[in-house]
Amino acid sequence: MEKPFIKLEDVSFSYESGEEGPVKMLLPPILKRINLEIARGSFVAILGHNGSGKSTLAKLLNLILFPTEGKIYLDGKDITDENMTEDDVYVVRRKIGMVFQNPDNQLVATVVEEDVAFGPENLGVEPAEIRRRVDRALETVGMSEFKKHSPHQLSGGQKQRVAIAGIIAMLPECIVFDESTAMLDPKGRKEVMDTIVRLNREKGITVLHITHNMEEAFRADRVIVISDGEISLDGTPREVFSNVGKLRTVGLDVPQVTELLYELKSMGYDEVDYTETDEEKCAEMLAEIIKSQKGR
Amino acid sequence: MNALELKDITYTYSKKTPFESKALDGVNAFFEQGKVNGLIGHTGSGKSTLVQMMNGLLKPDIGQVVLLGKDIWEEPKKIRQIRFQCGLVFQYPEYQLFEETCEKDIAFGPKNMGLSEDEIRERVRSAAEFVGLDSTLLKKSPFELSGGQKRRVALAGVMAMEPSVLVLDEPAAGLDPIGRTEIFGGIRGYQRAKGNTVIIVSHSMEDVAEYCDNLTVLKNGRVLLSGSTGEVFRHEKELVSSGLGVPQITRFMRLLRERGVECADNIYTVEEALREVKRLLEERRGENA
Repeated sequence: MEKPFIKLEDVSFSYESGEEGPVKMLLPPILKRINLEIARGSFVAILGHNGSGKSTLAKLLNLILFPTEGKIYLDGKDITDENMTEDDVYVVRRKIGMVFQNPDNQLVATVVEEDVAFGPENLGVEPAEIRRRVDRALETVGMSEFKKHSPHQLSGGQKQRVAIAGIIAMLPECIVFDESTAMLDPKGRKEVMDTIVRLNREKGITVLHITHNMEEAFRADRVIVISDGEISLDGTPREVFSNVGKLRTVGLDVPQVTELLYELKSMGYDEVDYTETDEEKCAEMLAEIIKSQKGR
Repeated sequence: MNALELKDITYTYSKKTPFESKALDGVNAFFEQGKVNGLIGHTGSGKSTLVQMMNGLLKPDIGQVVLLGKDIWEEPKKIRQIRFQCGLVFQYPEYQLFEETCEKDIAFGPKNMGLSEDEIRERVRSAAEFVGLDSTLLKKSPFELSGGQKRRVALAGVMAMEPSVLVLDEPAAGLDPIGRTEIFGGIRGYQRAKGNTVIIVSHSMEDVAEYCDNLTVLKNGRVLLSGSTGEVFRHEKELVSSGLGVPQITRFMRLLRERGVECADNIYTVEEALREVKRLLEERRGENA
């Protein structure tokens, strides 16, 4: 069997309390003995309530944070080993890029293409190669025509796509999106989601997408629900969203259509399959049920 | 009756410079007294500019802002009074907390209004109650609280001034479903208890569907649609082409209609959809009985 791309082994994490003292004080753990394997090329959505530990998990993966206990392996290599040098850490961060929530906090340059070039420049890539990478990255996110623009003239969704291009230009193997769609309007959300899906399907980039939006989670191959620092559900979107009751107890919603179908089923309409995740198919099914009532 | 009327508002940023851009172009928007009014629009549609017009942070180039029947720019020197009548809660207001304790932070507004100590205490208590803040939290420093709790402290600080019109820019941004329900529950509780007017700016169609009575839709600095929530969500095509959308459930009911199911076309919450589908199913059963 192929070894997992990312593997977490009994990973726990606690923040340190801010109080000064001779002994380091730890706050209650935010992640508790997490065991998780992520396959190369997969598209994983991570859901959880505020404070569940999902952003902490993301930050552990590219070593912004270090686990309090446990091991993290990237391509079989222990990245939490004490002997990791600063260079080794940079290699990890190049492989696993991160896109954050606020589109206004991530762009540094005054021209779009310079912003995208910032990452590869810092990696010491040859100028000609930087040019190629920047052009290709902007093309991938559909922002080529804006390359000479100033970032402040762009919409939120466009800014996020430029931020994504900046990451792609470093040729990552995995990108973690930490609520990267949360501050966008519906159109911006769609632009960014379509870009993320394309990166995964066409470029084979492993995607971890942290979100509160259930419809976005539907587009992933796998959904992981984190609650109080532990993995409470893990499976295909269909499997996870069929646990309507459990999702509610961990403070999450299900998509509106799932909720409607679930309620109908609990009222005794047994032919309703609320685990169907395709909107069109759901409509088809419900229309059939409504019409067939007549024939009985 | 309208608590707030924005009439023929035009506003241009960076006038007479190469960066000149018209943010609002002849906007007429009316916000009904005692209702929860939603203001939606794509990024750059002019929502934030319009919000800053509401309590005089920006002055329109052309047009009138009428708050409770009075033009707010009639006496420009008294514009400070307007800010007590129309309270603004910006996005991510938790970054604006600054006092030593939550209690003091909430009391800051009422204090500036010159209220008596007793009155201030009462205002703080009732505002904290609306947003569901425990009295033990009030003595704590805001910096000891979670993000969701801080957000509620900030909101309580504006509610404590009991403005006739309470304007909230993306009050639930970044919160999980429980956090959203708590925040909106608090806003609705306040609105019902005081009978005041609330204006909510949001990107979430599901949230405005659930909590707003009326909607105003902005597109490129103009009003595209306005009316009751049900009426506005009938215009799925226009909303989608303006970078917005309708709640998933509304879209789903359209898909049902396209498949020959005769269901109502003004459904925008799961609750209503459930009632409608149940009605259809029972109607059919009745015909067969």
